[in-house]
Amino acid sequence: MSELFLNIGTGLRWLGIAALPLLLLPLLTLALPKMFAAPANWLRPKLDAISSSTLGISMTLAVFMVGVQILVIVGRYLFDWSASWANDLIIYSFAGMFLLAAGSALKHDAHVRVDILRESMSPNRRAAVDLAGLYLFLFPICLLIIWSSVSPSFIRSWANFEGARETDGLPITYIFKTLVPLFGVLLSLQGLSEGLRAAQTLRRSSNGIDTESPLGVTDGN
Amino acid sequence: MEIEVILAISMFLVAIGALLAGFPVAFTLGGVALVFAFIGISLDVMSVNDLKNLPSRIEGVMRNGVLVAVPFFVIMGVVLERSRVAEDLLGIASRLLGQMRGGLGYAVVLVGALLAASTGIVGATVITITLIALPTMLKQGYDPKLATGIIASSGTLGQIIPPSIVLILLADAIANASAQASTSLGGRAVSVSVQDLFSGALIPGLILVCLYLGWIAFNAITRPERCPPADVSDLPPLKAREVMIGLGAPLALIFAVLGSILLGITPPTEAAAIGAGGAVLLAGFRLSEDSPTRLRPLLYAALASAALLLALNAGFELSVKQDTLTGIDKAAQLLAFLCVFVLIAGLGAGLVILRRARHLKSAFTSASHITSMVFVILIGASLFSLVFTGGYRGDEMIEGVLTAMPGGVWGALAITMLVMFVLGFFLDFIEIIFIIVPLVAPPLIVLGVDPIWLAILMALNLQTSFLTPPFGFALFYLRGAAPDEVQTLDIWRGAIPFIGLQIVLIIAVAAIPALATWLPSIGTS
Repeated sequence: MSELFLNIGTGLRWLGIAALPLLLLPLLTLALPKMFAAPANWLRPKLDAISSSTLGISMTLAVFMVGVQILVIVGRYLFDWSASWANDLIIYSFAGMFLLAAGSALKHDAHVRVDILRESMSPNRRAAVDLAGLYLFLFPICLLIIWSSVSPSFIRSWANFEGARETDGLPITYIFKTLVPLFGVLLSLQGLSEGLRAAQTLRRSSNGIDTESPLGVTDGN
Repeated sequence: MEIEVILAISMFLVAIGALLAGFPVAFTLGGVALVFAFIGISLDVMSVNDLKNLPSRIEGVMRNGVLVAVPFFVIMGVVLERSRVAEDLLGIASRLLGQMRGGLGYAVVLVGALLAASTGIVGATVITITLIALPTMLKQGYDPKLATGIIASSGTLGQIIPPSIVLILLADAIANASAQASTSLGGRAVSVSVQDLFSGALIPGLILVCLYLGWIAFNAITRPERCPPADVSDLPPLKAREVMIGLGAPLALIFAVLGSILLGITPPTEAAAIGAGGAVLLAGFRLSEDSPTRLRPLLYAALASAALLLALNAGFELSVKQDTLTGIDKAAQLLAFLCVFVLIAGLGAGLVILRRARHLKSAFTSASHITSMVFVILIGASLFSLVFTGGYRGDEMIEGVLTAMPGGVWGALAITMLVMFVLGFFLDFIEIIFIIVPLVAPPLIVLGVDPIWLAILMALNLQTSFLTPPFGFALFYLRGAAPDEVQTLDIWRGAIPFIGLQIVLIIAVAAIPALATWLPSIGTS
């Protein structure tokens, strides 16, 4: 069983490495718009859809953890009952909630910015800042997170299906640890989508077309 | 100068410069750190192994049971906000107090203090209050300077008054700093909990509310034309029922949550979860006022079950570990199980009502986004500190600067506060907690500064910074949400008296540490 997962893991690693050049797509659409605009337009909604669906999971976990925590409180104070797995459920939901929503928060511009200067920037300028920030900051961070979290100890964790610290804990520590590289992957995918959006803004303005939706405007909820 | 020192200083300066470009703070912090890690590694100043600690730092955040309170409070806040409970609160308070001179002002200050639970993020509170209250105040003839000053300062009140989210994050940072300091003090240092910080902030927070109210009263007496009584003659009189649901219920919820933390009945995380559940029930009641639904009885049943559960717990032995329960206890236990079931069903009903009113998705979307924003900044800041502290020993440098300050403890404290005040112009509270507090708090605590007192001073200091023109955050958001006819200069001038009040309080707390430390000390003894 663990053999199978290790093989899948190796496969995913190579897939990830093979997909790395994809991160250059926003720059390519700027350099060679004719060639790359079509695949970029095809890809962006797909990437956004991934973030939306992980946001759905995050929201479900948020509702779930309130319910579980209330049951744990009732159990502890009234029925003299407690279990590590119930506490693990809360902690794991918490971790999933904030890690899985990070991409969607990027999409909806919910990550705080220092907007003193940004306020007065043109949409073009903002797009340029976003593109630079993605390549200088966001992508390197995501790659570091993925690279450093898929460590030998992480692989051991999957090979042994690492259980909980407590005997009655939730025996899915290996899945818990997988949230970290998953966070890196999801964030870089949404980053790619943001990069494509920024590149589109820049391209439109260089073609003399007005940019009707400047970057950073959220689309409702 | 050594190369590490130069790199550490330039890393800090580059980070601040890069932040001003306007890319999200979390990634800018982490990204600048990575750039400098790359420089450091290529100069052989730091090792690549320093970076490999990042996943364990992230896991540390993921497993932090104290920080779980943050999403619970965020959920409580957004649910109350989306179900217009906050709006009602202000509406009812201003109708109760509005006929007085300065009444609308009192209402805004009180609501700002009560909204503390809902957000620790300055922007959100200021925008909410501005949108709800400013147009009314201007229409009733308030002086724009006074009105905007009241709103900006009330919007920042939420940070210092528990149960605010920033106080939870600050408590976590101060607790780590305290633990770190304790190793260099040879094990003697106080541990700090969220509860300590909440109770430490209570007295200064309440004094601040009184100072604000006093200033409005002073205006009402000396210059009544600046804050005339509101004209409510065309509004129908308040019904007792409205006051109970709109004012009594949220107050009861906030006091229950805060009380159980301050009295040490439950840990903050549990109280916060109860707050979130209570907010869902409250939202259910509020929204079913407008559009009656058959689910409403379930909400009442849930409330009744909660009360019954407390009564059963007091009167009977409910423990599931006891094998030999007497007949009557067994019956009580079964009844209690039923109550729990009804309680959960009531929460479900609340969620369904929220969903029907089309608020469920938007509320939980913003809860997820806000929570993610907070903790992704924490991850970015961890990366920053991995490089700054782990790679370049920047913490030792800061420790050296602080201990070498003329004037000893007070000199070190003064320079810390000054730097934080300036940083408060462009960084939000959360970022400062995650980056600055871990660097400056341990040496200050080693120098003998009380951690709780330090935390409260920092909180008051930052709150003042957010009010200070021209860069103050609160003023910035207020400008964005205020109608155009309000002059920016009026907003700036309006803030000045409130800054004065803040400074009075900071001096008082600095001179009399007991204002912050007395309440926590009776909690522990």
